[in-house]
Amino acid sequence: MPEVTKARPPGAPPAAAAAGPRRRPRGTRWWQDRRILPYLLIAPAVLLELLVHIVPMIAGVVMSLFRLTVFTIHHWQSAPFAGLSNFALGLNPHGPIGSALWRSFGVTLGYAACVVAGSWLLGMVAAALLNVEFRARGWLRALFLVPYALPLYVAVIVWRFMFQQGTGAINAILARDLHLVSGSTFWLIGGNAFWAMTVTGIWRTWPFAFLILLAALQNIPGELHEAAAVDGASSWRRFRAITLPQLRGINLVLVLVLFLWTFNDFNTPYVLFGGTPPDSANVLSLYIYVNSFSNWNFGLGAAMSVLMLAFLLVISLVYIRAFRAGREADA
Amino acid sequence: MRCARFGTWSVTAAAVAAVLTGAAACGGGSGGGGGGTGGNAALTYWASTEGTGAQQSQQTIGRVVSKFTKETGIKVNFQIIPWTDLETKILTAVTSGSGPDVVDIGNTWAPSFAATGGFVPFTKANLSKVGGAGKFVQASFNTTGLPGKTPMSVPLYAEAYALQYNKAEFARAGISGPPATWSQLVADGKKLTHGGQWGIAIEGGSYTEASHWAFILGRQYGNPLYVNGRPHFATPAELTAVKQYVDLIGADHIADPADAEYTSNQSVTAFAQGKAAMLIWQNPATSLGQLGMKPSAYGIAPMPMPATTPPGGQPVQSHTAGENLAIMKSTTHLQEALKFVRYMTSEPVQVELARTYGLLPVVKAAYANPALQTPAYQTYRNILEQHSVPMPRVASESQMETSLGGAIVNLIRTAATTGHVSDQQIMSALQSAQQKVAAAGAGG
Repeated sequence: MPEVTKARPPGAPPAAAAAGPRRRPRGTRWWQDRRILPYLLIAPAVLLELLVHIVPMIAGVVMSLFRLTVFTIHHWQSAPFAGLSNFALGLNPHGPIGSALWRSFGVTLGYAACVVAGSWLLGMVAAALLNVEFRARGWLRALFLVPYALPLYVAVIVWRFMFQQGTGAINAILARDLHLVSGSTFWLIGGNAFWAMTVTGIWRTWPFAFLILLAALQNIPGELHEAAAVDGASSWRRFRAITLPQLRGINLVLVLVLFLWTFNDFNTPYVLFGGTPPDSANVLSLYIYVNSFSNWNFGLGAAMSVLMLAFLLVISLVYIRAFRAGREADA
Repeated sequence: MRCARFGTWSVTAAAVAAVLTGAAACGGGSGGGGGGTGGNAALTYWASTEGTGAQQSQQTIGRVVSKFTKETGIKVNFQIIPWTDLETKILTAVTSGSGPDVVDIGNTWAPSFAATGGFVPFTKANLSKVGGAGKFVQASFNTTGLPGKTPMSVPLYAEAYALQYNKAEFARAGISGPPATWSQLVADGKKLTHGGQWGIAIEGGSYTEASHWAFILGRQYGNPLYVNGRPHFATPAELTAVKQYVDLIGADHIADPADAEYTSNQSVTAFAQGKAAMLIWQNPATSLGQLGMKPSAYGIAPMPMPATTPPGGQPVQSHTAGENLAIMKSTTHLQEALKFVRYMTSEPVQVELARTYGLLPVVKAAYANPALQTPAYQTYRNILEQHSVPMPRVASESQMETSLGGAIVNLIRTAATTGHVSDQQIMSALQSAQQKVAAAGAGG
């Protein structure tokens, strides 16, 4: 019988050419190659990530090395190189700007610590309570998510009105009706400003913690709790010995994410206090903003932003290292 | 068959998504600016918010601009920008090299903007195209840029501080006339502070107000804020000046401690509602009218001064406030922009704008108009032309307002929460502000 040579489908390599296992099935295009196609598919996302996040960050780092002030901003391409002098100015604890930066750093750490602790506690309690089935559960769940869903500026502006000394709802209830504080208590200036900002921060953040923890709780197998109950463990014992360890992975990620978000938070303090916050509430992001846009010293503002970025990177790396070490210890 | 795992459709979809996103990102950038192709020029104009607010500004500028288009055929696309955003938007336009053709600027920003080099200088040639420097009120013309250098803007509106006082409350307290000295103001304020009413309302939370008071009172007590281009805040004279302001809440107790939280003109509302009997403010007539206070209900007098002139003190009762018009260097319609500036500073337009917004005109000819012959206008004109000085015309002026104004706002907050501010606290605040402005080194 004579051999009939089949016409090869277009684009298919010669049968003998492929040395190793076939990476591209017969009848496919070059961009469907298993080596190439994944990169093509993620290329748009990577491109956008570069454009929106990475390139501006690099631009910020470059800006911090130059003397970009009111005089040089128009011809920024020819701004003089400042080396590390912006960093020196920002870090010097004996100079007016540096000492304010360190104080601001302390305030921000305190704010982040309080908000993360408060949000996690509230979220944990609410998630534990809503983990059992009861009639109003769906409604309560929706209600608890409201602070997270409200537009940020609207919510914080309402808090700002509420905290007003003369006309605000907080003083109306606490001072006029309940007589817990004096009617002339200020919440947005002086030492109380830190707590006003923290309360607003916790109010905004705890629904997120609640959501994550509730989802995690529902993944804990019910048999564990039943077995422990049969063994006579109290609910608090069960919480400590079963729930918390099971949540360890989620908790570690949640706390890190909450910390990073709160440390970076600009919107809450800016809407509450504007461009001249009281010293007790002068968080880092606001301090950097004032230095960049009110003082027109963009090089300095960029340097301080780079310092903040470096700090958060170090924290994250150390944290993740500890987390991984902990996981290995567990296993 | 496995070969269709990464099918054509998914790749096409990804490609289309990428292209669309890219197009959206790039398409928005060409916005404002002189995009005209020569023939039908259209100017872009960023106007500030004046008078009773955005709505009135929109209507007023719209009216004025449509007349301009009818006369010259040049179309003008204008936007009313809130004060909270205006400086940042202009700065962004300067940095990016693209933006509107003509902008309103607060005249205290003129020196800083001049230092950027992003605006068309008003050389003698350009000035003659807008009608010549001589047509402007000299006091306002002094605020158009760095001293001794070519102006980067021309005046558009003028304002001045004055003392507004509630006539009925003064009569009720048995005070025959407005106070002329600070000690009289404090004494009158004490008589007027009773029940739910206070002697004076101040915008305690506003750092711009604080910096204005620091400047004006500093001049009265003999301390210019800048000497040879360097900040000069931590002096005994400035301490007395700042103490005068802070003690309104602090030692004198004639202003409501709640004023320390005021940042959105609540002090004007407090005066209009009769909660305070005095208000030191720039041209609040239209705002007070909108809040229901008739012009007959309050009197206008110049800001008080020290009873005896301290060494180096000057009879300054306001800074030369107002807004200017500037042309961005990035414009491609310079001649049309100059025509527009000439139009906006022409006598009939100036009279219309001044009357609508309750501000002062910046051209001498406008004062001849009978509509501006009222006693209120005469008082303000006198303050502006005889007793006002421009805020420091240095490139770091904006920094000064933030640092010094911010420091004084914090002192007011201390006065409000603790009832008392010591001289030591004031001096250390002044020193720290002076160091900040010197260190961030806008270097002259």
